[in-house]
Amino acid sequence: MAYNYDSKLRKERLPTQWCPGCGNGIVLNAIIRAMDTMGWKKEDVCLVSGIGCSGRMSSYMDCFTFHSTHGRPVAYATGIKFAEPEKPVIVVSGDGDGLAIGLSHFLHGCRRNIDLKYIIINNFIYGLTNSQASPTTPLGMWAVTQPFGNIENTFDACDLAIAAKATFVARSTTLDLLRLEKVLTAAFQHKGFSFVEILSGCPVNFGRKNDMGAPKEMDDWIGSIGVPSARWQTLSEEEKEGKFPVGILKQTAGAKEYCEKYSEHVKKIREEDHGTGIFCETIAPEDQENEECDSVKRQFRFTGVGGQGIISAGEILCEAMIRSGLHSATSLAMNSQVRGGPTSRDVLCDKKEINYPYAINGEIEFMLSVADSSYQIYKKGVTPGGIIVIDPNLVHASSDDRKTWKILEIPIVEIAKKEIGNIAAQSSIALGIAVSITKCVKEEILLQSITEMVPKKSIPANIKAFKLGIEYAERVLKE
Amino acid sequence: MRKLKANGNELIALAAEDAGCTFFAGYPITPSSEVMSILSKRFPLIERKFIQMEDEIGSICAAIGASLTGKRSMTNTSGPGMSLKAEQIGQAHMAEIPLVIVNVMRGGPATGLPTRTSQGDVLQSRAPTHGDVKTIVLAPSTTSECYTETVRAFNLAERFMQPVILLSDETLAHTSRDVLIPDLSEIQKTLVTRRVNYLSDYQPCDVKDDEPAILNPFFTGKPYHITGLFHDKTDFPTEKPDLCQQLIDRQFRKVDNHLRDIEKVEKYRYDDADYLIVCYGSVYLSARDAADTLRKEGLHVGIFCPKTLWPSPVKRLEDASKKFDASNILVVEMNKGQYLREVERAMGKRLPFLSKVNGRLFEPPEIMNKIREMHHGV
Ligand code: SF4
Repeated sequence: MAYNYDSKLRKERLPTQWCPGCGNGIVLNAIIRAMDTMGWKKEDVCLVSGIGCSGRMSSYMDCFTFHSTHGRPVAYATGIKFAEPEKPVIVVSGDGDGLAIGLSHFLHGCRRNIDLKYIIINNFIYGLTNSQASPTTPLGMWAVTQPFGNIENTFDACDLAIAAKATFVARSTTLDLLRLEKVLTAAFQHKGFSFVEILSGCPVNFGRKNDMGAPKEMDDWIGSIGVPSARWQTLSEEEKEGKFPVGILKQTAGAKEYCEKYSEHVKKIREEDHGTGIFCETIAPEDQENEECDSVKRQFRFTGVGGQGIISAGEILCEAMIRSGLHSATSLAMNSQVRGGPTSRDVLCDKKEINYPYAINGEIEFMLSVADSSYQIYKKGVTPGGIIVIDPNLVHASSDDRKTWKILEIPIVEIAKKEIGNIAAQSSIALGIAVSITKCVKEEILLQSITEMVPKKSIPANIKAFKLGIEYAERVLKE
Repeated sequence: MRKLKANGNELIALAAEDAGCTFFAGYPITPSSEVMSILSKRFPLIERKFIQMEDEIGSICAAIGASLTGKRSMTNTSGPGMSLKAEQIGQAHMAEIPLVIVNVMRGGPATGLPTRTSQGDVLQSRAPTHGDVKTIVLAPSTTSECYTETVRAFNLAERFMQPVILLSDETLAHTSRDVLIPDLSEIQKTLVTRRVNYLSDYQPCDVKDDEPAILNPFFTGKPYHITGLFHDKTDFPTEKPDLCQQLIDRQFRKVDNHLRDIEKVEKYRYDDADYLIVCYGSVYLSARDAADTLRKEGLHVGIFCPKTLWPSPVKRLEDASKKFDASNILVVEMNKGQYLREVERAMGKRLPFLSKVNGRLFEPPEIMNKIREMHHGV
């Protein structure tokens, strides 16, 4: 009895727009048969296609279908599958779509092992756009963009899939219907990225122009290039030239599929203690100072080189200011060219709401610096007569500087190393110094912010560092 | 209201969570990467989907794919990534698939100034892809608006079934401060749900001539087809001239006929002003300080700040144009005049302009000096 394809075809869209003798219709039928074998209902299946003659597959198949963009169907399908992991998602490309413009998504799909059923119909040419060469056009064959015979080497799609760690890789020709249906069904059964390359004839835009004028001749050629994998082993290298092994070439059982892996990962991390992952602290709303009050803006700056802990001091200070009921803003200036380049963090506070978020050059009342490169760049922001705390082992202040600003010397990094035994403690030393000199927030509030914002295990070291900072600052202030 | 210490990128991530975004796909790029790294931790912990794709194109594709299944979906990027996403933005417009695209602007063109601020992508956001598209582009101008405008972006995307671009910038992204944002319960009350149609005669584009397509979440209801080709009401390709025309007309009309739901402008100290600053994004922060300080000098300065950049608030700009002389309106932008031309077009006159493209936000005195010059007729 003839097989009934009707239930999964959009009959009103038929006949297809493919040329007589085209292999795409054979693939369409084979997909439907394999779906039937799987017992998949059309309401549960999604088919995504790219651009090219194969792209039309999505118009004829009656399920949720998306005719996407050139080369991107695997990426679109990744989103669909990851969002709805229970639903089968089939992807159809041609050799141009999947191996030229879209190669990267193909390889990453393999690597990720996401459960997509990816079919590349390889007809060795760009058929839809009239015969341009593709990455699979055989050497020496004619293409409209290789009019003197193709000189470019070719890709083997299955080799690529295997190298990229696809867990199911198979190939068939459109001439070998039984095998075609068998490998598609096996691909549909496999859990994980399942890749099937189908060697297919394009009699009109490839065959005719390569001395295979009739569809029959095209078919004969397609039939001749697929060699069952068992026999493939017995061929010499010479005999393998221009031919392809067909059958299931790789199948890894038990490799974790991406969506499953993700959900197991989610389950696991939710059972472990990773906190809430909430990234900005909620601060109990206190009565903010009256908005009508006059602005009393104060501006501070911490500078160092990228990666020095000193920069995080500004974040903590900002938090403490907000806790104290002030408005505060902090911003980071860094250079994109150099990792570890000069970096500066400004902190502002005001009783009024702050708009412009950066310190204004020439208005900064207090700066602290632990790196000469950043000191030299950022010192100009400090108002004449303002205070600059430098680490004298790392920063050089000229005699002119000492006339312009009140320069205080505290060997912050050495204190962190010798007295705390932890270089990261320099940020809390800096905060001790800043609060002692500027009195910008209450010491207890700042200490509370420190204990909440530094890693738990280093709280005691940071408390000690903060107190040392205050002591040193008081000492230099007396001098 | 909730009081937080947060920067703009953190608030975009929080807003996505609060607005019910359950799918995020991205690719790292400065200065927007923190949105992604925050969600990479937060989303798995609350059983939502996060994926880092292999490139900018892959990330927008995956986000659009997820949206097809009915999920609120987001991707984020900065200038160079926006250029790479261009084709797929068009696909989402043509196929009418909702999506929020965050672009945290940095200096451009090319690799530009990766860690510095800019408003250089304003024109790109109006026409981010080939062909005719009517984009909706929102620009937060304060840190807390990074939260509220992101929520609005999700709602507009679902309502109008198309991508909505959120144009933030490096200043907003990387400045932490105290912010007040609405409580989650308030946000949840405002959320727009995507329309569905499960009737037996369902056709995705069988809608009124100023309404978006209705795309049932994939795997619900009757199977249907979506394409980036010109299509008729069945969503299958067509090249019939009248149907092609109708399609694009409808996609424009669905926005143009609902401007009241889309436009948003803040007018600051506008009513009694003699001088008007037109600005948006983080420039607004400098402009507010400038306006407040100049008022102390006796200069009555107000601000016109669109939060929806595209479609531009043409009517309200026309009104402003009647209230202020051309010589008393100053457009301030961190680009070479990308919005200036639009403001001038709406107002029907050439305007004074203050521009900066060196990666630094205007300091308030720069704006104040320009207004003083205008006042003294220099
Ligand atoms: S051009 Fe080739 S691939 Fe395309 S429909 Fe015709 S025969 Fe098939």
